[in-house]
Amino acid sequence: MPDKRKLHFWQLVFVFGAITILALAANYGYGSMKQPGMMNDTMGSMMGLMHLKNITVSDLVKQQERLESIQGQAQTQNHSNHHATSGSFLKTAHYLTTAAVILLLPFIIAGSIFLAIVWIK
Amino acid sequence: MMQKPWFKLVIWILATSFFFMASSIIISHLSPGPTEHQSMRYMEGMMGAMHNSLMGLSMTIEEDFDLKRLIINASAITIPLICISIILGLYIRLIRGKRNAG
Amino acid sequence: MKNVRFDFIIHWLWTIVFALLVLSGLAMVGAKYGWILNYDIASADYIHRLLAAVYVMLTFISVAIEVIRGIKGDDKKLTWFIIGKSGYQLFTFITTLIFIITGVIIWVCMDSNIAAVSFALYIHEKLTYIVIASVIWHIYVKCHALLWPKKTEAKKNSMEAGK
Ligand code: HEM
Ligand code: HEM
Repeated sequence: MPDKRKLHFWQLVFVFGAITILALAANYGYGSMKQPGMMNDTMGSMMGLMHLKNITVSDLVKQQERLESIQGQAQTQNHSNHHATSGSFLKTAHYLTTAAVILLLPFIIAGSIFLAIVWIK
Repeated sequence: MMQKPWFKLVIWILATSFFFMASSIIISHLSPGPTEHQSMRYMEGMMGAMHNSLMGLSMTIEEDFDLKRLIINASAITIPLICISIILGLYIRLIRGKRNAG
Repeated sequence: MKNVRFDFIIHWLWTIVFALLVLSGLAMVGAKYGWILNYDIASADYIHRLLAAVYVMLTFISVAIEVIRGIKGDDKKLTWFIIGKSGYQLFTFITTLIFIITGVIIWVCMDSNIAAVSFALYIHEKLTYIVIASVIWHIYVKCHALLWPKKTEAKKNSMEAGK
Protein backbone atom coordinates (compact mmCIF):
# COMPACT_ATOMS: atom_id res chain seq x y z
CA MET A 1 0.00 0.00 0.00
CA PRO A 2 1.49 3.35 -0.97
CA ASP A 3 2.09 5.51 2.05
CA LYS A 4 0.76 9.03 1.64
CA ARG A 5 3.42 10.46 3.90
CA LYS A 6 6.25 9.12 1.73
CA LEU A 7 4.79 10.71 -1.39
CA HIS A 8 7.21 13.62 -1.44
CA PHE A 9 10.14 11.29 -1.05
CA TRP A 10 9.12 9.26 -4.08
CA GLN A 11 8.52 12.48 -5.99
CA LEU A 12 12.11 13.48 -5.34
CA VAL A 13 13.39 10.01 -6.20
CA PHE A 14 11.47 10.05 -9.44
CA VAL A 15 12.56 13.53 -10.54
CA PHE A 16 16.21 12.98 -9.72
CA GLY A 17 16.21 9.46 -11.10
CA ALA A 18 14.97 10.87 -14.39
CA ILE A 19 17.57 13.64 -14.32
CA THR A 20 20.31 11.12 -13.64
CA ILE A 21 19.33 8.81 -16.44
CA LEU A 22 18.91 11.67 -18.92
CA ALA A 23 22.27 13.16 -17.97
CA LEU A 24 24.00 9.83 -18.32
CA ALA A 25 22.37 9.21 -21.65
CA ALA A 26 23.43 12.64 -22.84
CA ASN A 27 26.99 12.06 -21.65
CA TYR A 28 27.25 8.74 -23.42
CA GLY A 29 25.82 10.23 -26.57
CA TYR A 30 28.40 12.96 -26.41
CA GLY A 31 31.20 10.53 -25.61
CA SER A 32 30.41 8.18 -28.45
CA MET A 33 30.21 11.09 -30.87
CA LYS A 34 33.66 12.15 -29.79
CA GLN A 35 35.06 8.66 -29.97
CA PRO A 36 36.05 8.62 -33.67
CA GLY A 37 37.70 12.00 -33.30
CA MET A 38 39.79 10.70 -30.46
CA MET A 39 40.88 7.63 -32.33
CA ASN A 40 42.09 9.82 -35.17
CA ASP A 41 44.21 11.74 -32.75
CA THR A 42 47.93 11.38 -32.45
CA MET A 43 49.38 8.66 -30.28
CA GLY A 44 50.80 11.20 -27.88
CA SER A 45 47.51 12.83 -27.03
CA MET A 46 45.87 9.45 -26.60
CA MET A 47 48.54 8.47 -24.11
CA GLY A 48 47.99 11.74 -22.33
CA LEU A 49 44.29 11.01 -22.23
CA MET A 50 44.90 7.61 -20.73
CA HIS A 51 47.08 9.06 -18.05
CA LEU A 52 44.59 11.70 -17.11
CA LYS A 53 41.79 9.20 -16.81
CA ASN A 54 40.47 8.68 -13.30
CA ILE A 55 42.93 11.15 -11.90
CA THR A 56 42.28 12.13 -8.29
CA VAL A 57 43.50 14.76 -5.89
CA SER A 58 46.16 12.53 -4.47
CA ASP A 59 47.72 12.00 -7.87
CA LEU A 60 47.74 15.73 -8.40
CA VAL A 61 49.22 16.39 -5.03
CA LYS A 62 52.00 13.98 -5.81
CA GLN A 63 52.61 15.69 -9.11
CA GLN A 64 52.53 19.10 -7.51
CA GLU A 65 55.00 17.94 -4.88
CA ARG A 66 57.38 16.84 -7.57
CA LEU A 67 56.96 20.10 -9.44
CA GLU A 68 57.48 22.16 -6.34
CA SER A 69 60.53 20.25 -5.27
CA ILE A 70 62.06 20.80 -8.68
CA GLN A 71 61.13 24.45 -8.53
CA GLY A 72 62.20 24.72 -4.95
CA GLN A 73 65.70 23.56 -5.71
CA ALA A 74 66.04 26.21 -8.34
CA GLN A 75 64.48 29.14 -6.55
CA THR A 76 63.93 28.64 -2.85
CA GLN A 77 63.77 32.37 -2.32
CA ASN A 78 61.05 32.97 -4.85
CA HIS A 79 59.02 30.12 -3.44
CA SER A 80 58.45 31.58 0.00
CA ASN A 81 57.92 35.03 -1.42
CA HIS A 82 55.18 33.72 -3.60
CA HIS A 83 53.19 32.35 -0.71
CA ALA A 84 53.59 35.44 1.41
CA THR A 85 51.99 37.57 -1.25
CA SER A 86 48.87 35.45 -1.65
CA GLY A 87 46.77 37.81 0.43
CA SER A 88 46.67 38.45 4.14
CA PHE A 89 42.99 37.65 4.55
CA LEU A 90 43.63 34.21 3.18
CA LYS A 91 46.56 33.89 5.54
CA THR A 92 44.37 34.81 8.51
CA ALA A 93 41.76 32.30 7.43
CA HIS A 94 44.47 29.68 7.10
CA TYR A 95 45.74 30.33 10.62
CA LEU A 96 42.32 30.47 12.24
CA THR A 97 40.91 27.36 10.60
CA THR A 98 44.06 25.30 11.03
CA ALA A 99 44.42 26.33 14.65
CA ALA A 100 40.76 25.63 15.39
CA VAL A 101 40.81 22.23 13.76
CA ILE A 102 44.07 21.12 15.33
CA LEU A 103 43.26 22.42 18.81
CA LEU A 104 39.76 20.96 18.99
CA LEU A 105 40.67 17.51 17.69
CA PRO A 106 42.33 16.24 20.93
CA PHE A 107 39.30 17.33 22.92
CA ILE A 108 36.90 15.68 20.52
CA ILE A 109 38.88 12.43 20.63
CA ALA A 110 39.08 12.48 24.41
CA GLY A 111 35.39 13.32 24.71
CA SER A 112 34.49 10.48 22.36
CA ILE A 113 36.52 8.00 24.37
CA PHE A 114 34.77 9.18 27.51
CA LEU A 115 31.39 8.74 25.84
CA ALA A 116 32.35 5.29 24.55
CA ILE A 117 33.25 4.19 28.06
CA VAL A 118 30.12 5.62 29.61
CA TRP A 119 27.78 4.37 26.87
CA ILE A 120 28.93 0.79 26.41
CA LYS A 121 26.60 -1.47 28.27
CA MET B 1 8.80 26.16 14.14
CA MET B 2 8.52 23.13 11.88
CA GLN B 3 5.24 24.48 10.56
CA LYS B 4 6.45 27.90 9.41
CA PRO B 5 6.31 28.09 5.61
CA TRP B 6 9.78 29.60 5.29
CA PHE B 7 11.18 26.77 7.32
CA LYS B 8 9.41 24.18 5.20
CA LEU B 9 11.00 25.85 2.22
CA VAL B 10 14.44 25.54 3.82
CA ILE B 11 13.86 21.86 4.51
CA TRP B 12 12.73 21.31 0.95
CA ILE B 13 15.76 23.08 -0.45
CA LEU B 14 18.05 21.02 1.75
CA ALA B 15 16.36 17.74 0.87
CA THR B 16 16.54 18.63 -2.81
CA SER B 17 20.20 19.51 -2.48
CA PHE B 18 20.93 16.12 -0.97
CA PHE B 19 19.17 14.46 -3.86
CA PHE B 20 21.19 16.61 -6.20
CA MET B 21 24.40 15.43 -4.55
CA ALA B 22 23.38 11.79 -4.77
CA SER B 23 22.53 12.03 -8.45
CA SER B 24 25.64 14.04 -9.23
CA ILE B 25 27.73 11.30 -7.66
CA ILE B 26 25.99 8.68 -9.77
CA ILE B 27 26.23 10.78 -12.91
CA SER B 28 29.90 11.56 -12.39
CA HIS B 29 30.81 8.05 -11.44
CA LEU B 30 29.09 6.33 -14.35
CA SER B 31 29.95 8.88 -16.99
CA PRO B 32 32.52 7.96 -19.60
CA GLY B 33 36.05 8.91 -18.65
CA PRO B 34 36.93 12.57 -18.62
CA THR B 35 37.67 14.26 -21.88
CA GLU B 36 40.93 16.05 -22.32
CA HIS B 37 39.13 19.33 -21.89
CA GLN B 38 37.66 18.24 -18.55
CA SER B 39 41.01 17.00 -17.31
CA MET B 40 42.69 20.22 -18.31
CA ARG B 41 40.12 22.32 -16.51
CA TYR B 42 40.44 20.14 -13.44
CA MET B 43 44.22 20.51 -13.46
CA GLU B 44 43.87 24.25 -13.90
CA GLY B 45 41.42 24.39 -11.02
CA MET B 46 43.86 22.47 -8.84
CA MET B 47 46.67 24.81 -9.75
CA GLY B 48 44.37 27.69 -8.86
CA ALA B 49 43.72 26.12 -5.48
CA MET B 50 47.44 25.73 -4.93
CA HIS B 51 48.11 29.33 -5.76
CA ASN B 52 45.29 31.30 -4.26
CA SER B 53 43.38 29.23 -1.79
CA LEU B 54 43.94 27.54 1.52
CA MET B 55 45.33 24.39 -0.08
CA GLY B 56 48.48 26.17 -1.16
CA LEU B 57 48.90 27.68 2.28
CA SER B 58 48.55 24.31 3.95
CA MET B 59 51.54 23.17 1.93
CA THR B 60 53.62 25.62 3.94
CA ILE B 61 52.83 24.16 7.35
CA GLU B 62 56.21 22.46 7.58
CA GLU B 63 58.02 25.77 7.30
CA ASP B 64 55.68 27.59 9.66
CA PHE B 65 57.10 27.52 13.15
CA ASP B 66 53.99 28.83 14.91
CA LEU B 67 51.70 26.23 13.41
CA LYS B 68 54.33 23.55 13.79
CA ARG B 69 54.53 24.34 17.48
CA LEU B 70 50.75 24.29 17.72
CA ILE B 71 50.62 20.86 16.14
CA ILE B 72 53.26 19.57 18.52
CA ASN B 73 51.43 21.01 21.51
CA ALA B 74 48.12 19.59 20.36
CA SER B 75 49.66 16.15 19.90
CA ALA B 76 51.28 16.46 23.31
CA ILE B 77 48.00 17.11 25.13
CA THR B 78 46.15 14.32 23.31
CA ILE B 79 47.51 11.41 25.36
CA PRO B 80 46.98 13.06 28.77
CA LEU B 81 43.48 14.10 27.74
CA ILE B 82 42.70 10.54 26.71
CA CYS B 83 43.97 9.27 30.06
CA ILE B 84 41.83 11.81 31.91
CA SER B 85 38.76 10.83 29.94
CA ILE B 86 39.36 7.12 30.54
CA ILE B 87 39.74 7.67 34.27
CA LEU B 88 36.70 9.94 34.41
CA GLY B 89 34.65 7.48 32.38
CA LEU B 90 35.57 4.52 34.58
CA TYR B 91 34.96 6.59 37.69
CA ILE B 92 31.48 7.53 36.54
CA ARG B 93 30.68 3.94 35.64
CA LEU B 94 31.86 2.90 39.06
CA ILE B 95 29.62 5.41 40.83
CA ARG B 96 26.66 4.48 38.70
CA GLY B 97 27.25 0.77 39.18
CA LYS B 98 27.25 1.28 42.93
CA ARG B 99 24.11 3.37 42.78
CA ASN B 100 22.31 0.78 40.71
CA ALA B 101 23.41 -2.04 42.96
CA GLY B 102 22.43 -0.24 46.15
CA MET C 1 11.34 31.48 18.52
CA LYS C 2 11.58 31.43 22.29
CA ASN C 3 11.20 27.74 22.91
CA VAL C 4 13.08 26.38 19.95
CA ARG C 5 15.33 23.69 21.32
CA PHE C 6 19.06 23.82 20.91
CA ASP C 7 19.32 20.27 19.57
CA PHE C 8 16.85 21.33 16.87
CA ILE C 9 19.04 24.30 15.97
CA ILE C 10 22.16 22.14 15.88
CA HIS C 11 20.46 19.60 13.63
CA TRP C 12 19.65 22.18 10.98
CA LEU C 13 22.90 24.10 11.26
CA TRP C 14 24.63 20.75 10.91
CA THR C 15 22.57 19.84 7.88
CA ILE C 16 23.44 23.10 6.12
CA VAL C 17 27.15 22.83 6.89
CA PHE C 18 27.16 19.19 5.90
CA ALA C 19 25.45 19.88 2.58
CA LEU C 20 27.98 22.56 1.66
CA LEU C 21 30.89 20.36 2.76
CA VAL C 22 29.71 17.57 0.52
CA LEU C 23 29.14 19.87 -2.44
CA SER C 24 32.55 21.50 -2.19
CA GLY C 25 34.22 18.18 -1.44
CA LEU C 26 32.67 16.45 -4.43
CA ALA C 27 33.88 19.09 -6.83
CA MET C 28 37.44 18.20 -5.83
CA VAL C 29 37.19 14.44 -6.25
CA GLY C 30 38.35 14.23 -9.82
CA ALA C 31 38.09 15.37 -13.38
CA LYS C 32 34.75 13.66 -13.79
CA TYR C 33 33.35 15.58 -10.82
CA GLY C 34 34.66 19.08 -11.42
CA TRP C 35 31.54 20.26 -13.26
CA ILE C 36 29.65 20.37 -9.97
CA LEU C 37 31.30 23.68 -9.13
CA ASN C 38 32.36 24.57 -12.65
CA TYR C 39 35.96 23.46 -12.01
CA ASP C 40 36.52 26.29 -9.57
CA ILE C 41 38.61 24.14 -7.26
CA ALA C 42 40.11 27.15 -5.52
CA SER C 43 36.70 28.22 -4.21
CA ALA C 44 35.74 24.65 -3.43
CA ASP C 45 38.90 24.24 -1.40
CA TYR C 46 38.31 27.53 0.39
CA ILE C 47 34.69 26.70 1.24
CA HIS C 48 35.57 23.17 2.27
CA ARG C 49 38.27 24.23 4.68
CA LEU C 50 36.34 27.12 6.22
CA LEU C 51 33.28 24.94 6.74
CA ALA C 52 35.37 22.04 7.99
CA ALA C 53 36.44 24.34 10.83
CA VAL C 54 32.79 25.18 11.53
CA TYR C 55 31.94 21.48 11.37
CA VAL C 56 34.69 20.65 13.84
CA MET C 57 33.40 23.33 16.19
CA LEU C 58 29.83 22.03 15.96
CA THR C 59 31.12 18.55 16.69
CA PHE C 60 33.12 19.84 19.62
CA ILE C 61 30.06 21.59 21.06
CA SER C 62 27.93 18.48 20.60
CA VAL C 63 30.52 16.20 22.19
CA ALA C 64 30.95 18.63 25.08
CA ILE C 65 27.20 18.69 25.67
CA GLU C 66 27.06 14.90 25.63
CA VAL C 67 30.01 14.66 28.02
CA ILE C 68 28.30 17.02 30.45
CA ARG C 69 25.12 14.99 30.15
CA GLY C 70 27.14 11.86 30.74
CA ILE C 71 28.70 13.26 33.88
CA LYS C 72 25.34 14.36 35.17
CA GLY C 73 23.87 10.96 34.35
CA ASP C 74 21.21 12.51 32.13
CA ASP C 75 19.97 9.61 30.01
CA LYS C 76 17.12 11.36 28.23
CA LYS C 77 17.29 10.96 24.45
CA LEU C 78 17.51 14.25 22.58
CA THR C 79 15.34 13.59 19.55
CA TRP C 80 17.07 16.05 17.28
CA PHE C 81 20.60 15.63 18.49
CA ILE C 82 23.28 14.69 15.97
CA ILE C 83 25.27 12.35 18.15
CA GLY C 84 24.03 9.75 20.58
CA LYS C 85 24.47 6.21 21.72
CA SER C 86 22.27 4.34 19.28
CA GLY C 87 20.77 4.20 15.84
CA TYR C 88 21.39 6.94 13.33
CA GLN C 89 22.82 9.17 16.02
CA LEU C 90 25.59 6.65 16.66
CA PHE C 91 26.19 6.22 12.94
CA THR C 92 26.50 9.98 12.46
CA PHE C 93 28.83 10.22 15.43
CA ILE C 94 31.20 7.57 14.12
CA THR C 95 31.23 8.82 10.54
CA THR C 96 31.81 12.36 11.79
CA LEU C 97 34.82 11.24 13.78
CA ILE C 98 36.25 9.47 10.75
CA PHE C 99 35.63 12.53 8.56
CA ILE C 100 37.39 14.79 11.02
CA ILE C 101 40.34 12.51 11.67
CA THR C 102 41.00 11.76 8.00
CA GLY C 103 40.36 15.43 7.18
CA VAL C 104 42.97 16.59 9.67
CA ILE C 105 45.44 14.04 8.33
CA ILE C 106 44.92 15.42 4.82
CA TRP C 107 45.21 18.94 6.11
CA VAL C 108 48.33 18.57 8.21
CA CYS C 109 50.24 15.98 6.23
CA MET C 110 49.79 17.51 2.78
CA ASP C 111 53.15 19.15 3.24
CA SER C 112 55.01 16.16 4.60
CA ASN C 113 53.52 12.69 4.28
CA ILE C 114 51.91 12.08 0.92
CA ALA C 115 51.26 8.38 1.49
CA ALA C 116 49.15 9.17 4.55
CA VAL C 117 47.31 11.85 2.59
CA SER C 118 46.44 9.49 -0.26
CA PHE C 119 45.13 6.92 2.17
CA ALA C 120 43.11 9.45 4.13
CA LEU C 121 41.70 10.96 0.93
CA TYR C 122 40.56 7.52 -0.17
CA ILE C 123 38.63 6.94 3.07
CA HIS C 124 37.34 10.52 3.14
CA GLU C 125 35.96 10.16 -0.38
CA LYS C 126 34.40 6.70 -0.06
CA LEU C 127 32.86 7.65 3.26
CA THR C 128 31.22 10.61 1.57
CA TYR C 129 29.35 8.27 -0.77
CA ILE C 130 28.23 6.06 2.10
CA VAL C 131 27.05 8.98 4.20
CA ILE C 132 25.15 10.55 1.30
CA ALA C 133 23.31 7.27 0.80
CA SER C 134 22.54 7.19 4.49
CA VAL C 135 21.23 10.75 4.44
CA ILE C 136 18.86 9.85 1.61
CA TRP C 137 17.67 6.96 3.73
CA HIS C 138 17.34 9.35 6.69
CA ILE C 139 15.19 11.68 4.58
CA TYR C 140 13.08 8.69 3.61
CA VAL C 141 12.53 7.75 7.25
CA LYS C 142 11.79 11.32 8.33
CA CYS C 143 10.10 12.55 5.21
CA HIS C 144 6.97 13.58 7.04
CA ALA C 145 9.10 16.68 7.62
CA LEU C 146 8.58 17.45 3.94
CA LEU C 147 4.81 17.62 4.22
CA TRP C 148 3.44 21.06 3.67
CA PRO C 149 1.65 22.37 6.80
CA LYS C 150 -1.66 22.94 5.03
CA LYS C 151 -2.11 19.23 4.43
CA THR C 152 -4.49 17.60 6.87
CA GLU C 153 -2.08 14.98 8.12
CA ALA C 154 0.76 17.38 8.57
CA LYS C 155 -0.30 18.74 11.95
CA LYS C 156 -0.72 15.33 13.46
CA ASN C 157 2.49 13.83 12.20
CA SER C 158 4.84 16.74 12.31
CA MET C 159 7.21 16.69 15.16
CA GLU C 160 6.06 17.98 18.47
CA ALA C 161 9.74 17.93 19.41
CA GLY C 162 10.87 20.90 17.34
CA LYS C 163 7.89 23.20 17.96
C1 HEM D 1 16.98 17.55 4.43
C2 HEM D 1 17.58 16.77 5.17
C3 HEM D 1 17.10 16.28 6.52
C4 HEM D 1 15.81 16.11 7.01
C5 HEM D 1 14.50 16.37 6.30
C6 HEM D 1 15.93 15.63 8.36
C7 HEM D 1 14.88 15.36 9.21
C8 HEM D 1 15.01 14.95 10.51
C9 HEM D 1 13.93 14.86 11.44
C10 HEM D 1 12.49 15.20 11.14
C11 HEM D 1 14.45 14.43 12.63
C12 HEM D 1 13.66 14.34 13.91
C13 HEM D 1 13.64 13.04 14.56
C14 HEM D 1 12.40 12.88 15.40
O1 HEM D 1 11.80 13.86 15.81
O2 HEM D 1 12.07 11.72 15.63
C15 HEM D 1 15.85 14.19 12.44
C16 HEM D 1 16.73 13.69 13.38
C17 HEM D 1 18.06 13.41 13.15
N1 HEM D 1 18.81 13.82 12.05
FE1 HEM D 1 18.04 14.63 10.38
N2 HEM D 1 17.27 15.48 8.67
C18 HEM D 1 18.01 15.86 7.57
C19 HEM D 1 19.38 15.86 7.45
C20 HEM D 1 20.25 15.27 8.34
C21 HEM D 1 21.67 15.13 8.16
C22 HEM D 1 22.46 15.65 6.97
C23 HEM D 1 22.16 14.48 9.25
C24 HEM D 1 23.57 14.05 9.57
C25 HEM D 1 24.45 13.67 8.75
C26 HEM D 1 21.05 14.19 10.13
C27 HEM D 1 21.13 13.52 11.32
C28 HEM D 1 20.09 13.33 12.19
C29 HEM D 1 20.18 12.58 13.41
C30 HEM D 1 21.45 11.85 13.90
C31 HEM D 1 18.92 12.65 14.02
C32 HEM D 1 18.53 11.99 15.32
C33 HEM D 1 18.42 10.51 15.13
C34 HEM D 1 17.06 9.96 15.33
O3 HEM D 1 16.36 10.43 16.23
O4 HEM D 1 16.69 9.07 14.56
N3 HEM D 1 19.91 14.71 9.54
N4 HEM D 1 16.18 14.53 11.13
C1 HEM E 1 30.71 15.96 6.37
C2 HEM E 1 31.87 16.05 6.24
C3 HEM E 1 32.77 16.02 5.04
C4 HEM E 1 32.57 15.58 3.75
C5 HEM E 1 31.31 14.96 3.16
C6 HEM E 1 33.80 15.78 3.04
C7 HEM E 1 34.02 15.45 1.71
C8 HEM E 1 35.21 15.61 1.04
C9 HEM E 1 35.51 15.16 -0.28
C10 HEM E 1 34.51 14.39 -1.18
C11 HEM E 1 36.78 15.52 -0.60
C12 HEM E 1 37.51 15.24 -1.89
C13 HEM E 1 38.28 13.95 -1.68
C14 HEM E 1 39.02 13.48 -2.88
O1 HEM E 1 39.36 14.30 -3.73
O2 HEM E 1 39.30 12.27 -2.96
C15 HEM E 1 37.33 16.21 0.54
C16 HEM E 1 38.60 16.74 0.63
C17 HEM E 1 39.14 17.30 1.78
N1 HEM E 1 38.52 17.42 3.00
FE1 HEM E 1 36.64 16.88 3.42
N2 HEM E 1 34.71 16.34 3.89
C18 HEM E 1 34.11 16.50 5.12
C19 HEM E 1 34.67 16.99 6.27
C20 HEM E 1 35.96 17.44 6.39
C21 HEM E 1 36.57 17.88 7.60
C22 HEM E 1 35.87 17.92 8.96
C23 HEM E 1 37.86 18.24 7.29
C24 HEM E 1 38.97 18.76 8.16
C25 HEM E 1 39.06 18.74 9.38
C26 HEM E 1 38.04 18.03 5.89
C27 HEM E 1 39.21 18.30 5.20
C28 HEM E 1 39.41 18.02 3.88
C29 HEM E 1 40.63 18.31 3.20
C30 HEM E 1 41.86 18.99 3.82
C31 HEM E 1 40.48 17.86 1.88
C32 HEM E 1 41.54 17.91 0.81
C33 HEM E 1 41.23 18.69 -0.37
C34 HEM E 1 41.28 20.16 -0.23
O3 HEM E 1 41.24 20.75 0.85
O4 HEM E 1 41.32 20.80 -1.27
N3 HEM E 1 36.87 17.54 5.35
N4 HEM E 1 36.34 16.24 1.52
